[in-house]
Amino acid sequence: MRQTLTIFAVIASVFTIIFSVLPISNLAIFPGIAALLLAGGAFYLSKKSGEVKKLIPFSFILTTLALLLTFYKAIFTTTEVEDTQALETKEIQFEEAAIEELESLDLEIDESELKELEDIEIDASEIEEIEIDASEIESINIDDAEIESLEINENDIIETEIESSDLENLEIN
Amino acid sequence: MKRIPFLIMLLLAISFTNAQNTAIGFNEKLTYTASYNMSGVLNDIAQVTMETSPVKTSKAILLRLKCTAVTYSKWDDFFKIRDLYESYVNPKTLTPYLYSRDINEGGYYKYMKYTFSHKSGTVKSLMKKKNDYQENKTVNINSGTKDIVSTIYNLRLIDFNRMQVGARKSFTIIFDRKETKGQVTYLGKETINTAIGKKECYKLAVGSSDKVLQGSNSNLVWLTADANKILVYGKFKIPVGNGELKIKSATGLKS
Repeated sequence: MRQTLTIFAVIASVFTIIFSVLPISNLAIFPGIAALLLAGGAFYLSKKSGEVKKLIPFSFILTTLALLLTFYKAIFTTTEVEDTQALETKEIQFEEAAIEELESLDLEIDESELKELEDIEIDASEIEEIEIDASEIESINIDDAEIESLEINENDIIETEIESSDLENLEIN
Repeated sequence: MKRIPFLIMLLLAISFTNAQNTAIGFNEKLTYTASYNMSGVLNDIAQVTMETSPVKTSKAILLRLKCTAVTYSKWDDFFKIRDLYESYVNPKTLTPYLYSRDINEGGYYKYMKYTFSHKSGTVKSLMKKKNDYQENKTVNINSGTKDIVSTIYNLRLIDFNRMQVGARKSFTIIFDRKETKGQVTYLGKETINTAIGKKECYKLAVGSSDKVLQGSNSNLVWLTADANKILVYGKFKIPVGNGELKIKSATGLKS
């Protein structure tokens, strides 16, 4: 009986060590407790017979070290993701490819739905990158009727500061 | 282990008819911890992130729905997962136009792309695997069939306040070029503790016609009982075990 308990205690302590170094270190508690109980039983029987083998204290020490490692990992190790650069690069590539593909698709979107997308946040850096063709500005037509119907608030004029140097440079055609 | 990311996605997948989007904003980011039960002990396996962003084309502004699953660094040496699922949808109805799935799990690689044509009821699929293997196939789909990502988000368009306890909604998703039927059952409201505070939630049971999700009430999701209806907690049971999905953070919410 004593020998059996000793053997099982050593096996359990080996499992405790194995689990404690793996990512599933919190599972080491089960063989750890089993190893302590088995080693304890073996030690008690050994004391009774007057012959304590070195394997039993060895099993205690191994199990204790493994459990200490398990508790250390549980308390001080934070779970986090690493090595995601490849995934992030892939996300950007997929988005660019998707936009190209979406351009060729018939999206079946009702125009009235587009008018409601007013609260979209647009990154300012994207606006800075927009290229405006000067020829497009020249070709803009302004309807005279729109100018005539333009209403100017007198208060806006009063509050406007006009520098005399600006007036000197003003050309009226 | 390979099935866990897909099953997390399927657990969340629900589709609906043309409900309008009042819950999902353009720059939302939800981060979750996926855990798997090993011998009675839950182990944190991976981080799941769900993000939305606007995508501008010359015709329209679409909504990009992106889901990633990444194993924590301690698992990378044993079984590394880098999954990317994305769907480009109509921002009002969440109808998908383009879907892609790129999975890299323990050395296994697969890429799947669906181009939807709702008018003709077809999906053009492109599948790629390692060694430059490619396969094109056109699949017929029923009206209302969506990809897994857009169906996950469609879950949040349901008006649960109008549902009675025990009420069911069915859904069809296309996955691996096959249509899969499932249903969600409304189980009532429940208040639970989460990393983002104590939340009153709608509790839902999810089932599927194939035996991927096991049990009738073993696969559960909790959505916040507010205008956002974000998923804060999920439990799943699969042939190889069971696990959980817990929210870590939520930013950019619409309401």
